[in-house]
Amino acid sequence: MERVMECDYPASKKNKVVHPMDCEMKEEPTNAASMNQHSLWSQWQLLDSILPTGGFAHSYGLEAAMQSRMVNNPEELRSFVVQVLENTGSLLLPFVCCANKSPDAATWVKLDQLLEAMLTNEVSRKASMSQGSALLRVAASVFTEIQSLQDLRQTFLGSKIVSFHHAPIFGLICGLVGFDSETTQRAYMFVTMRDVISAATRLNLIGPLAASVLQHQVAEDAERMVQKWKDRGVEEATQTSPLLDALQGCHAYMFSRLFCT
Amino acid sequence: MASHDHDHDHHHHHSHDDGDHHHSHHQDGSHGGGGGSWVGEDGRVWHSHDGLAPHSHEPIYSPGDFSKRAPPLISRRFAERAFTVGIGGPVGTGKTALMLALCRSLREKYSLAAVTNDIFTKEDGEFLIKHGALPEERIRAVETGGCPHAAIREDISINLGPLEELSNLCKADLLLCESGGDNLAANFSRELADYIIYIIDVSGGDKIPRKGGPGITQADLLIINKTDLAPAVGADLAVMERDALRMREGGPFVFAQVKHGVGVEEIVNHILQAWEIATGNKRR
Repeated sequence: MERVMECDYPASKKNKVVHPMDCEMKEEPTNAASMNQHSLWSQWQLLDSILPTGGFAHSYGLEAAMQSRMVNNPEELRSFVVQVLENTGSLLLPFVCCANKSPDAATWVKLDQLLEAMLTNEVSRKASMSQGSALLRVAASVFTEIQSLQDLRQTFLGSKIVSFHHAPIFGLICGLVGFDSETTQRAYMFVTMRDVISAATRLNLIGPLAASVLQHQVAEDAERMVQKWKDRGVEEATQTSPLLDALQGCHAYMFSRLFCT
Repeated sequence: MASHDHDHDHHHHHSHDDGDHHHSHHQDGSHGGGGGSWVGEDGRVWHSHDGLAPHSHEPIYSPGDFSKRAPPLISRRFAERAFTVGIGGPVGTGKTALMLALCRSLREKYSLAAVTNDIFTKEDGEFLIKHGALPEERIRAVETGGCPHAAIREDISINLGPLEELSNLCKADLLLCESGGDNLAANFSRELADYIIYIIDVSGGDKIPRKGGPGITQADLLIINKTDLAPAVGADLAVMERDALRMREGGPFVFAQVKHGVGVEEIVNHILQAWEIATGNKRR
């Protein structure tokens, strides 16, 4: 649904508000191969669901969609996941991408403030903030070799000018750890897909085995979304699923619920 | 049956055989109806009665020891987040009632704030607000996505966030964090709770302390609540006391009736003592 808007996007990928810079690596790589191997371990750690960022407490609007009878069975779940991915791609990937390309404080503050202004429902705004600050907390304690992560946290913790939204923080951390742009954007889609499907199993919409099958099947759609929405500037960021956005906003009104959002 | 007969014969022909063999013979033998007890191969005392399968009431090995529970964190900075008391325990044992009682006894002299992990409603948080435990802005309810254990153990971030926020907002001396209801295998991570309280009640049966598990064995304080119900449910408090002391290697426990204020002062004393040691402050 809501595919109408996609034709509004210009094909150009060049007009970004920020200028891409090369990622700054704090450690001198002795050789490219060993750097790459080291980076793989960080990559897997960042993408592992054991990373304590509180993702398990969020359903990306699935619980609200279920209680309002929009999603009732595995088939509808699949279409829900695809829509969430589409919306993530169109709205959040540009933020991930820009933060990843210029992982510095000034760019990050601008991106965070812009996203704060663009998130239209309070529920997802809060989810983004709590997961973003949790991710920065973990990253600052884990990647001690990257001083700027600790500096960033120290400088802005408790300050009113930033909200620590998840997408820019994710892009920033991946940039500082040294992930390339496409990997970072694909990774962001992966964690989103993983968390929605995990929430679906806990809501008993789908069994754990069927969920793994679904994840495997949806991967193809997810890759399509990555190719479609990657490398865009934040001025192209847009909401493609307003219905889901409205539904998620209703989460706070439900009496009985498992998830924070 | 063939192997049993063989065992039997074997026993008779070698009456001074080793003890293990002897006992296993007894265990296999006719202990279905009558009383009597014997020492099993595992060294525990077994018995059987009322048509029940042979069983033992001795403590079972359990994950975790009281003396080996996680020590206080050296790197902990109370300026970032005040001293945090974690309250865990099975559903319905009185965690929220304890939160209310603690708020009432501590709020005059200390700046308090509380985070509750409801399983699927905001009832616990609302219960505290309704009963005026604390001003509303000092209480946060957090949903845990159906994973109450994850929220206190392997991914504490959804609790850390609100706790840090409240700590700064209220300039809190003490923070209370109530778990969403646990099984016996759950326990707070030391990164979340500086003082861990595990609360059970007598209506779960007097066997609960004996079952052990990290909640029972590794909490800093065990509370056995609703002791007034013991006669009604046939729970033997002496058994619970003996097992609690044994499972916790003498670690502290309190018999309480939190709803009626019994034992609350003792609990508060335990908390304040830990708070004084950890923070270096003096109680007011």
